[in-house]
Amino acid sequence: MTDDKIRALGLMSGGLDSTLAANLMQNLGIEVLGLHFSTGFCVADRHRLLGNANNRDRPYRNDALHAGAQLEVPVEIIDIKDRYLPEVVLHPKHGYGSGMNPCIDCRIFMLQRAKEIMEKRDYDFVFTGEVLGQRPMSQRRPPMQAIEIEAGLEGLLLRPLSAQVLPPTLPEKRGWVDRDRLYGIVGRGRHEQMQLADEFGLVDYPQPAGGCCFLPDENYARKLRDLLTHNGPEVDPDDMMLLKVGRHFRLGDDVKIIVGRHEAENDFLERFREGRGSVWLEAFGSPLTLIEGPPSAADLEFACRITARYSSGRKEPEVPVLWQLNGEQGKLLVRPLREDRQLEEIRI
Amino acid sequence: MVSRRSAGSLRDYVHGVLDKAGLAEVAQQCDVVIDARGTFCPEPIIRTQNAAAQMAPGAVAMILADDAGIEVDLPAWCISTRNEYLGVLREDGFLRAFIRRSPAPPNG
Repeated sequence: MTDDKIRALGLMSGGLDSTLAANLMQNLGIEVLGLHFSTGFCVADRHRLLGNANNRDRPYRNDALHAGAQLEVPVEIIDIKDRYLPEVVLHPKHGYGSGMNPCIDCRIFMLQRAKEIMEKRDYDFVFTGEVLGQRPMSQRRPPMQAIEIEAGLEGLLLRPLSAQVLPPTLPEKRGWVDRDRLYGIVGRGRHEQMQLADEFGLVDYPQPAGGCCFLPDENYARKLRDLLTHNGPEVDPDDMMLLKVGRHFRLGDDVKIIVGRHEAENDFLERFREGRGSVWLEAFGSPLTLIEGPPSAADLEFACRITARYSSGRKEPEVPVLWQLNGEQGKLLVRPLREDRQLEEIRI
Repeated sequence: MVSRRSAGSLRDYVHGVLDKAGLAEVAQQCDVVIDARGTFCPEPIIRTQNAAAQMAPGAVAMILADDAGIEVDLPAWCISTRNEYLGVLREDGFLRAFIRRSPAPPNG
């Protein structure tokens, strides 16, 4: 350190709350390093990898990096994908929320990593944009206290947006930050945060959109459970990536198909075609379907019928469907699948 | 109150400091090549950040990527970390983006 400036690490998702917290710390003269954890389950990453359908020349941005640029706060992306699934998602000590979301364990895991960085690089404390009462699982008073203790950050974890309704932390007690200049925001509303954003001159921040993680989403959780059941806990990163797009149908224990829902998903699936079977129609507007695992002849035909159902030829009595598998190509004339029940039975 | 970039200047930052000819010249003499093709954001930024941590001040890195997100994320990362964003060349099917390592990165 070249001077006696107090240094803090902030967990930054790039959402309004964490951006406000970082801005507030800056205003109090704290030197801030933002940490953005990449778990592999970020909803924003999905939007970004599918691209901006409305304007392909303006790709979606990483909100944490954008917030860092706006505040001129350095943001470091911490890649925790490899450890996150086995250590947090599969075995959460504090259980799941509505889907497969281990919010409390997730928070503890991230803060433990932050603590390691704090100690290694000589930072003074850690702060987050958490607001008391905002989220049902991890942002209530008891879990917030438990998180602080289990992360090993007792007294060193400041939540500046709700600090005035929480016990004073060491940074406040030692006068590193002025408690009177912190806030006492409580609850799920965003009104106070938006007022604060106005006050700070923050004009370009993501609108609150119901969370940034796939794991609370029951549809996603179902696909993840299915993958873990059939592939075991050692899942391939590409398989994880593919959970984020398309309609998924399980044709057998070791065979499933992924059907693109629109052009952007087809483009995305195209990048994963190598090493997988694929099915598509040339004569009609068509999804691209990927086949995971070794399909039987009946599976392949069924995959062709499902693909035809989602093509513009779905009302035709029969349509030609192309397939590619293990270096071979072929064409099947099939009746588009029309039986909803049959489809729902295999939908993941 | 800490000053910050206006929304206008944030929109502007996607343009690097070098033009196409300048970038083509830099491409011939860059110090580090980071190949992030086939990966999706934030992976290209993670690779850049990790490589930059080992680079000498003033060294230039060329990042190869086919995820268009790098065109907005890399300039943002450069501003936040005070590295210099030189610009991007669009090739057939991928991008070549260039950064110059800051002489004094903050909070290293």
